[in-house]
Amino acid sequence: MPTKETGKKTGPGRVRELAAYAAVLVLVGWQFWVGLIDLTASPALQGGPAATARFTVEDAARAERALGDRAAIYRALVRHVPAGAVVVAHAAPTPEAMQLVTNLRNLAYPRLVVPTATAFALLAEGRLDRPAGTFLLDLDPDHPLELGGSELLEQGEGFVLYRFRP
Amino acid sequence: MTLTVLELVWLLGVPLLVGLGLLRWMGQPCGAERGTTLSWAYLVGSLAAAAVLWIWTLTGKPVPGAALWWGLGGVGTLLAVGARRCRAGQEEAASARMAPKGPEDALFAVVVGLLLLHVLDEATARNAVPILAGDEGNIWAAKAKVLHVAPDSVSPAFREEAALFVQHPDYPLLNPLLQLGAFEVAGRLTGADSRLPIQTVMLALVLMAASALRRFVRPFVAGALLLALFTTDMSRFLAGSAYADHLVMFGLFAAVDAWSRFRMTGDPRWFRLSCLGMVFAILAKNEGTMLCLLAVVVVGSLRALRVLAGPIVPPTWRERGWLVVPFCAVLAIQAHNAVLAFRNDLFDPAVDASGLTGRLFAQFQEHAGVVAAYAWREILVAPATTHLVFGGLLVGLLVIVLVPSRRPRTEFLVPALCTFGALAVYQLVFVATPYEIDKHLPAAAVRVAMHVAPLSVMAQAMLWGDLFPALRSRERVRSPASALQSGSR
Repeated sequence: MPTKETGKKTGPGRVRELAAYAAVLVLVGWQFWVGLIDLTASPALQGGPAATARFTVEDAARAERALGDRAAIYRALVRHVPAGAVVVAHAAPTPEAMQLVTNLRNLAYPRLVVPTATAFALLAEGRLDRPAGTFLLDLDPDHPLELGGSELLEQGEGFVLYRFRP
Repeated sequence: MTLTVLELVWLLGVPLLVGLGLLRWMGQPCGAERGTTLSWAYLVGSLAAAAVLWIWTLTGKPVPGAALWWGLGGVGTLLAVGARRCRAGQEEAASARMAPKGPEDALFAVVVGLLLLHVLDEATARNAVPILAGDEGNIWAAKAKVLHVAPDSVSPAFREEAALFVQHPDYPLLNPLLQLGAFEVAGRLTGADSRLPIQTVMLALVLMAASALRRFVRPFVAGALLLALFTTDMSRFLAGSAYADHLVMFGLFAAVDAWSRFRMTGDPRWFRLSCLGMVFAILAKNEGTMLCLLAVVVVGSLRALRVLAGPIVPPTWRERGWLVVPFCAVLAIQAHNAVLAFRNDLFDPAVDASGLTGRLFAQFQEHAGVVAAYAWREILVAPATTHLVFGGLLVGLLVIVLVPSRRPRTEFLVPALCTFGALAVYQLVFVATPYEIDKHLPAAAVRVAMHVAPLSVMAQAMLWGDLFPALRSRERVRSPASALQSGSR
């Protein structure tokens, strides 16, 4: 409520205003602080000016190690499978194997990598009849598929690549 | 990264050049800050480049892609050099540059600079690994790859290829078309480079948000809000990715910011840019269409209820005609999908015959509690996840209720209602999900909430500036538009 002399508010209203102002200042100050702290977690600020380059190199090395098998299989696909061909990927039903198939799918395009289950559905619909041919990538050597008449193209650690001749 | 430095400059420079040219041709730049002009140029130029690439694929790619990009660059140069400059905009820019700057402004500039470096850093780090999985691989880059390889984008061959290789082939085309630009500049499919045009959007959003927030609050508060917004885990993830969510953030924020500037100044150029911001959001993701519709409904309702005063100069019918452009964008997406017989899985009876509404009622009892608890814990009151970019708005509403002597102008209601409206609609969509709720929520809830995070911080900036004069922007106090506005609601 305003006093007659100064026009300034006094009493509970003024206290509430001050409390609200303080709360907002605390909120804004906290947001500033937490933002700064999280900025320091960014790769470049973590280790000084050279960190970005170092991070990139380290990350690339880590990515290469993680790619490991993926890179070998990718090279085999590019060497043997023409663009536009379908590659039926037979893999164990584990999250890691499924992830590998997804990664290969995105890396190898325009070779079309499809999981076995999808491939059977597509075969049933007559949609796998590609002029560029169909290939089979066996990523589950413990449980190989029956591949009568198929031509072996390349065999690496953890994978076998065939030209599919049903 | 496989592009050379020159190719990289050409890839990102062409949309910027085309955008700058188009802005001048439309009577821009009218923004006072150079950073905002660059952001708008990237938005307008990206839209133009995407439109040209879309037409190019629809017409069976009559010229080589590299030649098309050169042509775009040439047109952009001609427009940027030849189009008349806007004198009013120049004067405005000059007066802004002459405005006195203090240490707090310097601190703000440092914060914006750090955030730009931060975004660049996230992008550089991520580009060490090619696009392999997730939505960026299976939806956006996948569609861009099919667009690059297929002879066109309407034939049965394209349809077959997209249906086999792309998840959600019905999704809008802005992101894939911008990635397609990278493939055409490189002349081949690339592993990580196609992320670049998408990552640049986050840089543009930082600049645009910085400019917008400074209109309402002093530099320290604007800096705090920017830091909170752009250093969340999800912002950092999006900054490095080729997802389309930050495209929605950018388009929607641009639309609301431009509309707010139009309302304050009556400058019709802002109205046009607001419409183009909506087009950007609509072409980015289907959620963009929903959010733009929500924004139009919010503004329309507030105006109809006389809660919000109109612009100081009402738009002419010619200006209102620009609203047709976002509408045409929606129609273009629908027409393209209709030709290719692509349907959205949320509405596709082949996925679930009961449809979205049927699932909403059927699953409400089972899902509502889970979804509400997740939203409260991970989005609204989540210091670690969202840095209270939404919780801060709740604090603002609480202040209005508890301190009735402080009355903010009703302008903040537009971004605030868009924020809460969008969050509410998203939670309903999660209630009606056809997928497993325990997997769908962690995969998407925070990410889609971020679509309206920039609007939430804009609403907070408006509130803090109105409620506490000590936090108000000096520019706002001096601005003639502000004096006009203070007499209105």
